[in-house]
Amino acid sequence: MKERVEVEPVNYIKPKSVKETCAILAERGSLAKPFAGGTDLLVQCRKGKIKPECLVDLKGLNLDTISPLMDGGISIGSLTTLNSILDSETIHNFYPVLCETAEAMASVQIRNRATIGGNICNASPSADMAAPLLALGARAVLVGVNGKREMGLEEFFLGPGKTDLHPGEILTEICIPPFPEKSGAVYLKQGRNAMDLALVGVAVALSVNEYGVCEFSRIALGAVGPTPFFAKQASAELCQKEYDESFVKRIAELAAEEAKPIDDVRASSWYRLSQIRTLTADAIEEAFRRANHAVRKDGR
Amino acid sequence: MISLKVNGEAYEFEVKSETILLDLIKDKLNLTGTKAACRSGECGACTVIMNGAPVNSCMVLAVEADGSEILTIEGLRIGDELHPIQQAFIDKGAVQCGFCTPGMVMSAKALLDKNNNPTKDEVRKAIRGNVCRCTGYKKIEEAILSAARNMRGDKI
Repeated sequence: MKERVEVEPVNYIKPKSVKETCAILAERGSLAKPFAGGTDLLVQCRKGKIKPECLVDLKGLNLDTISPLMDGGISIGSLTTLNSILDSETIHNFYPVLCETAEAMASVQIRNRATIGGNICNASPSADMAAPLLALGARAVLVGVNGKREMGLEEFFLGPGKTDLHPGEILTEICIPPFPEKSGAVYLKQGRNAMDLALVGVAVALSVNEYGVCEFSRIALGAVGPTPFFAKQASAELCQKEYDESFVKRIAELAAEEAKPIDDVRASSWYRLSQIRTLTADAIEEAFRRANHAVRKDGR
Repeated sequence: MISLKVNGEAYEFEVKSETILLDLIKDKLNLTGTKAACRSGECGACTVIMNGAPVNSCMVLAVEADGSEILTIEGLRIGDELHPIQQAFIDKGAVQCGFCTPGMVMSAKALLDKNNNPTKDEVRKAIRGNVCRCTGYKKIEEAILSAARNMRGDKI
């Protein structure tokens, strides 16, 4: 029986160490593709968007653990699947926004394969994990033939589908700093249907003092610019303020002004702007509610 | 060369790097219950359970399945009887053309293995990755809830 082949003939390697992986990727350059869950990569191969000579499987590198950091934050291995994030008690207790985000993505079947690293490194402007991770102050840890380096996630995204990964480098982990005691984070996503990418994604993370006054805040937007990004002005305006409905509407307007949405098959730019206003206001309201009711889960 | 278990039986195959698990199941094992439709992870017709987790078999390379245990729709039967989920789909009229059905049943099996008392919302989330063009999903939802009740032994 003729074997049905959907992808062009390709080599497959499954290295046993990060060092070996980086050496292979550095040597082969753009002809070799890092291969994690494959849920974006294989589709791109089948559509002919990319034609790799070699798939370098990262799943043998033990990069799929979630572990606490010395500073009280956590590290999420880049090969952690989205369902592992959804099911993680640690993440549920400390950064529940990431569980909610994972649940809003694709389907159970995709989430059993798709990885947080793949979502970030594929660098779609609408990558759902990006906006909440930006809002949480996440850092990307990259390892290559020249060693390790770290950067804020906001510096990692360079353009649609483009990241600061140097040849031979892979993303090994995402590090998230500890959150202040009274804090809350929310990610709201607008899509056309259940399986859709975001046509607008808004993430808000903020902390309040005992009087409900915002002490620090970050608003991050996805799908409305060439990369996911911080709405810096809107974030700054929110600081030192209490929740107030009309004020929050003005902040949402600021966020919309910082966005550069395009018309595409999913939505027009005017609809996206309209949704930025609505979702940002809703997300700020919910983040305040969570921050004001927050109880630390670790007993500290 | 890969080794894997499919529906409890052990197999070894020579595969090319680019061979897809879906095609291995259908062509080499002649298990045609798993369906090929979108081949891009969008429709769920190719859903199988791999190491206890439902996946789109069109998005898994055969080499990635080395050492794994796969359950396909053909593996659900209990002796000569249909699995309660399969029976519920028939009893509740949740099958029209039947093309989405194997994938739907596998997603339902994966759900009920993890959570034997799902809410309607949890059922909907579990089959979010399975497209049906015929039924409008209502009967499928009822069938899964009915199968869950049956498998828990609840008296109706």
